[in-house]
Amino acid sequence: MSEENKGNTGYFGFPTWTYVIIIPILVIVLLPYLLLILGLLFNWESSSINFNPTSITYNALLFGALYLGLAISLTLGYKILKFPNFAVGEYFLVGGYIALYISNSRWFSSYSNDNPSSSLLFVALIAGFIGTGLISVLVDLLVFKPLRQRDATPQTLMISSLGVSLGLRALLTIRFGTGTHKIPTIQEFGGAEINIPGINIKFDLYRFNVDLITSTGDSPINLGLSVLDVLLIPTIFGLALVFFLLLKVTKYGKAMRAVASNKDLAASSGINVEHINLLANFIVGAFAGITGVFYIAKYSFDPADGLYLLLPAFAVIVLGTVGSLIGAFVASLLIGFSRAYSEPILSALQRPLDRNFLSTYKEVIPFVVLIIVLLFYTQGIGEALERRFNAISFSSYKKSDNLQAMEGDL
Amino acid sequence: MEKQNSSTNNSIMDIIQNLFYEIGTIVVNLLKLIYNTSKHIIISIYLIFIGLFTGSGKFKSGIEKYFDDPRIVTMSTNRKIINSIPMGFGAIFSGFGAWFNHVGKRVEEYYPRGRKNPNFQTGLVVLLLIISIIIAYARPATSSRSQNFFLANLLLQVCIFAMMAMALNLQTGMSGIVNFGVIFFVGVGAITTSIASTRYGIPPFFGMIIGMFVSGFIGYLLAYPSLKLRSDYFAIVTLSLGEVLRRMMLAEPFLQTKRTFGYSVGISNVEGPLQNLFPARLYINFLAIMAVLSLIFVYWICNKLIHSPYGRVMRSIREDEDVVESYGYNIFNYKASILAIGGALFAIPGAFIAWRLASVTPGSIQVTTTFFVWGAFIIGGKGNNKGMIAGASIIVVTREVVRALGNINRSESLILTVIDSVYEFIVVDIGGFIFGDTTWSRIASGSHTVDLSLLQIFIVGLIIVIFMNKFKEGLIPETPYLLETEEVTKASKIANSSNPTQSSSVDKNNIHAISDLKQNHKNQKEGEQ
Repeated sequence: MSEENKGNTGYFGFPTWTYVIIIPILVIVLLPYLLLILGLLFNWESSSINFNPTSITYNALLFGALYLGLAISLTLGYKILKFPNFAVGEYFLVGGYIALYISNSRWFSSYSNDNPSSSLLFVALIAGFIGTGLISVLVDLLVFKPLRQRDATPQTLMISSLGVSLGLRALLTIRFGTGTHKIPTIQEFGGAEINIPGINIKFDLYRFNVDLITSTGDSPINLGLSVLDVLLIPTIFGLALVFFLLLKVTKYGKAMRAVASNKDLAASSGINVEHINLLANFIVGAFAGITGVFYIAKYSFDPADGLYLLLPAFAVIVLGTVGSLIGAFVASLLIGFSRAYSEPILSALQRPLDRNFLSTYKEVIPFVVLIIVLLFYTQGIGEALERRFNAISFSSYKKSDNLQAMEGDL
Repeated sequence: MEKQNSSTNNSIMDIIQNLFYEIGTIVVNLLKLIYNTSKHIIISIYLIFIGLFTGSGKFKSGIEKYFDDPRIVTMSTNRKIINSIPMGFGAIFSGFGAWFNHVGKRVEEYYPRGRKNPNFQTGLVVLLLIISIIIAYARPATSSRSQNFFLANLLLQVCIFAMMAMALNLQTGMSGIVNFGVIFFVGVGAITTSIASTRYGIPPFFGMIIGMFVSGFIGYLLAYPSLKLRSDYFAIVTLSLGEVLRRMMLAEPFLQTKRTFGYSVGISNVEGPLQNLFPARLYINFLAIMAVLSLIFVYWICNKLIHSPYGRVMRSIREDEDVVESYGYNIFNYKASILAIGGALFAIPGAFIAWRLASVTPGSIQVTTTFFVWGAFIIGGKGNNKGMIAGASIIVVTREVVRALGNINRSESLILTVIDSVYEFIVVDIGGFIFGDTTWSRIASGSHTVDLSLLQIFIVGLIIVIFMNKFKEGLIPETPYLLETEEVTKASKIANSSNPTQSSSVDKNNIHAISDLKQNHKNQKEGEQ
């Protein structure tokens, strides 16, 4: 927060927050063209691109949601427990495998009969949320709490989280193997029809379709979305928003912010810091776990995915200023968009009968965006955003807020 | 003690109470003793554990009587002798551990202020190296050829990891730049070395030097963001650079081998130095010797750097940048130079990684390797080069020995039988009871035996967690720099002498220093307890 004294002007005299808006737009708009030009330089023969804005936006939101789930865990760990928790990638795996347990249990045995229970996904989501949270708390009690009590440095905590991550991943791989797994996502909710004059929207969830039927009697437009697809994005983004609000409104949220701001002061004002740490750990595990459940329902899932989704999530939190929730929110969308935009271009640019050289680079795009943005913005974008929108938005780490949290009825 | 005095009443209850009290004090003292010596005892337990792992003949024959298990096959006498060797070595080394503990305590008395006798440290390192070699020899092997390969490979891996950890120690332990891009620099070195020799026909050794230059130059370039960025941001940027490099190997045609149709992933047929002079199966021995020589070279460079005026400036930059800047040092130049030097040193183990398997694949540029090197760095004790060898040997020996267990017969090793039966109980009995047998066996993927190549990762993780919890300054902590003057040695001797009357024979000028030292020593002892 000492940057406030330096003034709000950026490189060319404009206020810094304008760059926060301009640079993402520039990245999102210019990156496809940059890739296009690069690709044309190397490969003139074929460059036909199927640019479907709807699917790109949907994919962007999808990636954004998956990154956000882990990024919130990492941010909370950074803010309250004061260290980057590498075990979050494994909590993600634990969530996915809890869903696998549930789907293979005798109550939801989906393989033996082709008519799985309709509530599988919901039970898996709730179990993943709670179960992973509890495992995170257990790991904290066993490993991190003794270290905290000895006033260990963040580096020590980080390395021991590396150890936890290696151990957990090895255990999970011993149990479930290196192969891929998936849970069935057949859902029966029946259908619903919404009649608006002009357009008739028919949610036929039994056939997993959302059909837009125009009143003129044309053939329905099939969006091709399953129940899972409809649920995934709003659930994670909604949970994140609910979490922001809880941080803002509730007693425990205030206490949490107070601990994040100053642990000793919070303890002296009567907050039980250890309880808050455990609660924070529960939420760290829960967000990673529910992301894992969604991931195993959406994609095929193997133990290597934990680390490969954790690294972009790290990119997200660095891009959005470590410790800033609103920054993580914006940065996850930014990285999701840039990845989704680059995907069709990269796959269009490679030669038809060649190995897929260029489309492998879609996984690299988050890191490229991270490095480009960090060159201009060494602090990440979340810091400037918080400074600008403190008064308006639900930014959680305002100084005066923390003071209010101290003075409030805790 | 007060309770003992108060027991003037001769009632039976009081006597019993006193008895319990005394037994309690004895137990508490024993526990204290165990705790104080735990550092060395844990090492010995670790050794016995490895001894057990490599197969134990004596325990087995006793247990055979009680377990009428058809899986337990009676062993041949030769096998029994071979298997009992590690147990014997384990016992010998636990004795060594106790002796080291004894010597170490006496040594520490003469070297206050956290200083350790350098001979003691060297002894520990040499001991760990000898242990790793002996374990390799004692390992039950199928043929002499596989035994030779295992030994040479182990030595090579220890050297590679120790070199990586030393270069990391220069950047992180000495200078405080949190570098998580170990595998990035190593990968750049490996790729450059192999491309120079496969595509341009440059001799392998010069290829390695080119790799060092490229890797060092990239390190120098990284100094530009590192000066601007906060340390944790820099850590995550370097971590993601390693992943970018791995993806580039998958995607980039330049980094792949050209076939008649298209490309195949990874650079293959990398020529090692003097490869034509040796038969293929003995070449790894030559590589291991080369690795030992280059380890000595890297160790020499790192030691020179740490004890030079340059190293002193770097250490003060680690402690406080602003103070150093106020003395007129250019921090950017120093940070850039150490990133370049460290990057160049990372290229040496990279070249060995390329030569070992004669190829570089995306699999050899895993982010997990960075974590292993960090584990070695932390276990060994940051800021100390000898510690790097110790940490690397612990990590590598654990990994290789547990991996080598895959070769031996599962039913002949007690500890494997125990692990497997526990695992089977958890998976089949508990899991099947809760979730139903048929569905449960679907995701159990067949056999109920523990995959040992994964157990090694679990054990490495466990070791890291235990070390962070118990001794976070590592096996061999950094030695604080203290000038060797007569005054200090004199004062330290007097401070350690239990007889307080001796202090009267010293100059009055030294009294402050002595009391300071005494206080320090007392604090240290309290801290241990």
